[in-house]
Amino acid sequence: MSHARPLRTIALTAVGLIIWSICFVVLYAALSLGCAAGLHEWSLFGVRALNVILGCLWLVHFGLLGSAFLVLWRTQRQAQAASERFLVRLTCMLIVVGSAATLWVGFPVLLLPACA
Amino acid sequence: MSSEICLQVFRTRVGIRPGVASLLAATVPVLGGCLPGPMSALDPAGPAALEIATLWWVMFWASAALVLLMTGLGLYAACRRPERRARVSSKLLIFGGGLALPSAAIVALLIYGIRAGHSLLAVPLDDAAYRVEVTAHQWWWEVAYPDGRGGRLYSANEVHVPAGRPVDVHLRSADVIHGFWVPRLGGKMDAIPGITNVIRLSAFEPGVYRGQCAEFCGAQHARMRLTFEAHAEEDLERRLAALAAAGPPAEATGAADFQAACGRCHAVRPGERSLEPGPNLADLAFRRELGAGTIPNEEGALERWLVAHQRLKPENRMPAFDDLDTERRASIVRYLEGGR
Amino acid sequence: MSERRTSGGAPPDGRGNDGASRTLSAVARHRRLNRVWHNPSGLRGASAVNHTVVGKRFMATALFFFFVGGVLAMLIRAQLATPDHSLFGHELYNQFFTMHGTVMMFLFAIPFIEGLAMYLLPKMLGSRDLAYPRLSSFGYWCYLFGGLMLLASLLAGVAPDSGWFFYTPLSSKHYTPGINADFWLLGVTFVEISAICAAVEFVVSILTVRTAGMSLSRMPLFAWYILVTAFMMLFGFPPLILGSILLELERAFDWPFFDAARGGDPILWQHLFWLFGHPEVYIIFLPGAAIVSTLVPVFAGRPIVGYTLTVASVISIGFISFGLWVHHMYTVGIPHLALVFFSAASMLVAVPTAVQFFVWIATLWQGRPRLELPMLYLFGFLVVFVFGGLTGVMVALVPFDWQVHDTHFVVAHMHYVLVGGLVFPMLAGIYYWFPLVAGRRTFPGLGAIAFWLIFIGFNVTFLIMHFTGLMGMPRRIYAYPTGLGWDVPNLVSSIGGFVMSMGLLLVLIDLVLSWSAGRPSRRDPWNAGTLEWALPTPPPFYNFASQPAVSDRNPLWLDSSLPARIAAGQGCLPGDNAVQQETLGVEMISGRPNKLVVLPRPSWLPLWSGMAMAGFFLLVLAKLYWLASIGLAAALCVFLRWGWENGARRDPGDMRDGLPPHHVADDAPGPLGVIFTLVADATFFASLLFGYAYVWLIAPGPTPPSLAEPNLAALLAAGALGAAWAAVILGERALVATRQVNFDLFMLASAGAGIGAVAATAAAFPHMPSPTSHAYAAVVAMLIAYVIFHVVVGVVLSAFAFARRRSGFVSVYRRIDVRVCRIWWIYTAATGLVTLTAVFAVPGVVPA
Repeated sequence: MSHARPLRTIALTAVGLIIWSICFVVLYAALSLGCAAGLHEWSLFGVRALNVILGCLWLVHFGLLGSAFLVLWRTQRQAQAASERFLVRLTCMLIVVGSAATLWVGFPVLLLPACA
Repeated sequence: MSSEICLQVFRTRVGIRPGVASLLAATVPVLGGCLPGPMSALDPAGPAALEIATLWWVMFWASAALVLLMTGLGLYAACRRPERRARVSSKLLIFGGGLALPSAAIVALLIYGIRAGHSLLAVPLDDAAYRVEVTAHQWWWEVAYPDGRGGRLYSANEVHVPAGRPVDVHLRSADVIHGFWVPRLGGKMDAIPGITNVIRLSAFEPGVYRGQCAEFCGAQHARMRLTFEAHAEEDLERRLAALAAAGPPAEATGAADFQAACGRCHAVRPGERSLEPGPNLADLAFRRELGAGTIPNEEGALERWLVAHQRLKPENRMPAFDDLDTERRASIVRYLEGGR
Repeated sequence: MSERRTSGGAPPDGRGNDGASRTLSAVARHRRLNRVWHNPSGLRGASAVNHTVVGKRFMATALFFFFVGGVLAMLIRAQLATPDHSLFGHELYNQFFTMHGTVMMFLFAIPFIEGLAMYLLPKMLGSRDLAYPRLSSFGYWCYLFGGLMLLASLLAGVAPDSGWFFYTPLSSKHYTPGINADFWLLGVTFVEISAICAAVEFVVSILTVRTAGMSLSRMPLFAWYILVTAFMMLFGFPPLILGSILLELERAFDWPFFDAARGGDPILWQHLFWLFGHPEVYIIFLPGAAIVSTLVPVFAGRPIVGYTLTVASVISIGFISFGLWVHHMYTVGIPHLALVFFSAASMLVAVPTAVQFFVWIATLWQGRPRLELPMLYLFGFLVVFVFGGLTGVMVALVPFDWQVHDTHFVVAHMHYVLVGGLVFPMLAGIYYWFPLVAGRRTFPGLGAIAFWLIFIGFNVTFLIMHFTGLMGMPRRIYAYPTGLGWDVPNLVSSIGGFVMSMGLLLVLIDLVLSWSAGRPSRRDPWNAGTLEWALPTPPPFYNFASQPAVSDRNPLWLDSSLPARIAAGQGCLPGDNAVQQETLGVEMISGRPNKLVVLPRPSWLPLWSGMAMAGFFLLVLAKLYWLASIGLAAALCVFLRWGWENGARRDPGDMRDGLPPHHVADDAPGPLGVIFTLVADATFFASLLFGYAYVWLIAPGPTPPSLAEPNLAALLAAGALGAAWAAVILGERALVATRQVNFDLFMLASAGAGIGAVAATAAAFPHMPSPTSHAYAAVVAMLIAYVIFHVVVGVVLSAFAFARRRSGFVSVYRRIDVRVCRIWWIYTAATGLVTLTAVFAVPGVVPA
C-alpha cells in the first residue's frame, strides 16, 4: 500500500467492482454491436458464434479479478496502520463482491440465444 | 364470472406445472379470486398474461412474508427488552438474512424469469402465428391485415384476430413513442419511430379485450384506447370479409361532401391507406367505438362526434369543422353509415 | 511535520497545551473566532459562503420546493379521485405531473441532500468548513435561479408537459413546439451544475478536509455514504446534461440526434436519460440510508455492527446501480439476453441493500434501543422501504415488468422507494438534528401524531395503487372512464394522499413553532457519539473552537469531556490568535494533518457568477444566442477574477503549527477539485462517444454519409494538441528549475499550440456536411465543438498561468495555477486525440 498516491490507493479499493463494470459494459456493447453486425446468424461447431464470443469475453474478466486478488495478496503485508488494514479488508471484500457480480450478470450468456 | 374463469384457467395449468399452479390454485380462493376487470392483468385471458399473473401471486406471497419478517425482526430488536431478547449473533443475522436469504431468492427468481421471458418472446418469427400490423398515431391505432394477395386491408382502433392461436402484432409508430398494451392478454411493447417491434399475444377464448396506449404520447394519451377482439376462425373470416367489402359505394349520396371535407385525410376503401393522418373509415359503421375509445358507436354517435369531437377529445388532429353546416354533416354521416 | 503532533489520540499540542497563561478563556476565544469567521446577515448575507449558512439555505429552499411538489401531487390526486373528472384539462394535468416529478427529483430531493451534507459534513468531520465555500454558494445560486426559472414557467402556465423523463420525439420541436420543453432542458441543466459543484465539493472535502486523526477507517458512516453519493453524482449527472444539450440543439438548430428519419434514434435519449435516471434513485436513497446508519447506533446506544461491511455494501450499491438503467426500457425491443443482463444486475443490488438492513437490525439487536421520536420515523422507513425494495425486485423481472411497466403499479413502487428511501429518513433526520440546528427541542407529541398521519396516509395512498396498476390503469392519463374497476382504488388513494399531506403540514407547523418557541436544547440531547454534537447549539460559524484529534469512530462516547476540551482550546488550531479562516487539511487515508486550508471570507463572486450563468440560460431560452454568448463571457470573466483572488504573492515564511498553507501543499484542494470535475467531464465525453458509436452503428434509418477521411489538417491538429501537452509539462519543469522566463515562453507556446489546434481542426473538415443533414454529422460536429471548447479554455488557462506568474502569484512552491493548467491540457489533448482518432481513423478500419 503505497502512500505516495493515496488517490490511486483509494480508487483501487473498488478494483473488483471496476472490473465488474468493465465486464458489464463489454458484454452489453459486444452484444449490441454483434447483433447489429448480424454475428448471431453464424455458428461455430454447432454453437452460436456470438454466444461463444460473449462467453470468452466474460471469462477474461475472471482472469482480471484473479490477478487483482493476487496483487492485493502480495501488497497486503505492507499494510500496518489501522487505516491501511481497513482499506485492504475493504478491497478484499469488494473483489469478492465483484467476482460474484461478474459471475451473476454473465451466466445468462450460457442460457439464451444472443439477439432474440 | 371472471374469478371462475380464472380458477378454471389456473386448474388447466395444474396439468402443465403441478408445483406452482397447485399452490396458486390454493391461494386464489383465499384472495377472493382474481381481480376482475376489463383491463385487469390479474384477470388473465391468454397464456402470456396467465404466466405473468401466476408470477405475480408467487412474488406477492413471498414478499408479504418478507415484509412481515423484516418488520417483525425490526420491532423485536427495537422493542424487546435486551435481557429478554434471544441471543443471536450478528454474523448470523447479517450473513443469513442479508446475504443468503436475498441471494437464494434472486437466483430462483432470475432463472424462472429467464425461462418465462424467453417463452413469451415472438421467436421464431414464422408463419405459424397470425400476423397483423399496427401503426400507432397520435392518438389512434392504424390496423392493417395482410389480405393474402400482397395487399392490405386497413382499419383502425380494433384488432380482429383468431382465438387460441398466437398472434404477432407488428408495431410501428408514425410519430412519437406509444405503448401497445392489452393487459388481459399479456405484456406491452413500445411502438417506436424507425423500428418495427413484434409482440406475440394470444387469447384462450373468443372475446373482446380492451387495450390502451401505455407510453405517454401527448395531449390525448388518455384517450388512445383499442379493442382487441378474438374470434373463432370462421367468425374471423366473416369479419375480415366484411371489412374487405366495407366502404360506402363511390356514387352514394354524400360522397362529394365527404370527399370535399374529409377525403384529404380519410380513405374509405379498405384496401387504401389513408393519407396522413386520418384513420381509414371503410368499416366505421361496424366499429364499437369512435375516437379510439372516446365514445361508444351507438345511434347518433357519429353526428355527435362530428359536432363535438374537439370537446370530447381536445387537440385531436381532426380540425373542428365548425363551418360544416347541418345538412352537409348529415349527408356525410349518412354516407359513412351506408358503408354497412 | 512532526510525528508527535499527529500520533494516535493524544491531543496535538498546538498552542493549546503549552503555556496555559497565553490561552484565552473560552468566551474570549469564541469572540475572536467569531470575528474572523463572521458572515453577514440581512441583504448582505447574499455574500455569505459559510457552510452552515449555505447548507441551511439549500435545505430551506428544498423544503419550499417539496411543498410546491406536494401541492402538485395533491392537484393530481384531486383530478384522479373520480372517473372522468375534469377539474383540469389535459394541458394543465400534463404540466402538473411533469412538474411534480421534476420538482421532487431535481429541486427537492437532490438539493435537500446537498444541503444536509453541506451543513453536517464539516461538523461531523471535525473541520470548520468545506474545501470550497464559495463553490457551495455558487451552487446554491445556480440551484435557486434554475429552480425559479422552472417555477416561473409553472406560474406562467407554460411549464414543461412531456413527462419528467422527457422522451423524444414527443419532446422534440415538432411535437412540442412551445417554450415549455426549453424551460425544462435549460432549467434542469442549470440546476445540475449545482449538483456537480456539490459533488466535487463533497469528494474533495471528505478526502482532505477533516480533523487530525480521522483516518478513512474512523470517518462517520455518514461521510462514507456521502462520498459514494458524490462520486455517483459525478458519473451519473453528465449523461443527462449531455442528453439535455443534444435535445436542446435538436430543438433549436434542428440537429437530428434523436430523429429516426435522419439517422438518429429516440432510444439514444432513453439511454442517456436512464444512465442518469437510475443511479439518481440511489443518489437519493444512499443519503437517506446515511441518516439511518447515523441514527440507529445512537438510539441503540452502541457502535454500528459491521462498519467495514456497511462501507463495502454502500460502495457496491454505488457501482451496481449504474448497471440497471435498461430496466426502464424493457419494452423498447432490446434483445432478451441484454435485458437479462440488466435484470440480473437489478436484482443483485437488492443484496447489498439487504445487508444494510440486517446491519441495522443487528445493531439494534445487540444494543439497548431507546424509542424516541426519530426512531418512529426510522420504523416507518423500514416498513416502507422494504416494501419498495421488494416490488423493485419484482419489476426487475423482465416478463413481470412487461405487464406493469408504465402503470400505476410502478407509480406505487417508485413512491415506496423514494418516500421510504428519502422522506422518512429525512424526517427522522430533521427531528434528530433539529436541536443542533435550531438550539431548541421540538414539541413532544406533535411529531408522533404527524408520523402516524404520514405513515397511514402514505400506505393508504400507495398500497392500493399497486392493484390499480395491476387492474390496468396506465400512468399519466388525465381522465379515465368508469367501469374498469379503477374508481374505488383511485378515490382511496386520493383520500390517503390528503391524509399524508396533513401529516407533512403538521411537521412543518411543528418545526416553525419549535424554531421560535421550542424549549432550549442542551448540547447533545441524544447522547450521540459523533463530533457535530460536540458543538454548542446552534453552532457558531467556525464550528470548533479548536479541532479535536480523534482516535475513535465515536469520539464523544470515548471521551465525554471532549466538548469542554474543544471549547477550552485543547485541540488543534485553537483560535486564540486567529487572523484568517483556517482549518486542518489531512492526508487522505491516515487523517494525519499535512496542511492548513485557508478559507475565503464572504464573497459576492458566487452571486455574480450565478447571475451571469442565469443571464446565459435566460438568453438561450429567449433564443438570443449572440447575447447569450456575452452572458457566458461575463461568467468566464467572473470566474477568472475568482481565480485571481486565490493564492498568495509570497512564499510562506514560518509555517503555523508546522503546517504549510494549502497553496503550497502537494495535495492542495484546487487541483484535486479540477481532477474530479474532469472525472465528470470525462463521463460526459464518454457518453458523447457512446452517442457517436450509437448513431453510427446501432441507430436504424439511413446510413451515415461518408464523412471524414484522414487528412493533413487532422494530423496537424493532433500534432498541435500534443505540442500543447508537452509545452505545459516542460513549462512546469522550467518553473521547478527556477527558469521562469522559459516558463513564460512555454505557457505562451501552449496557448499558441492551442490556437493552432483550433485552426487545424476547423480545416480538417473541408466538406463538412451540415449537422442538420444526418445525426452522424451532428454528433461529429458536437465532438469537434467539445474539443474546441476545451482547447479554448486551455488557451485561457495558459494565458492565466502566464499572467499569474508575471504578477508574482506563481513560484517554485506556489504552483497551483500551473498544475491546474497542466491537468486541463493533459485532459484536453487526450480527449482531442481520442476524438480525432474516432472521427478520422476508426471509420476506415471498421467494416461498414
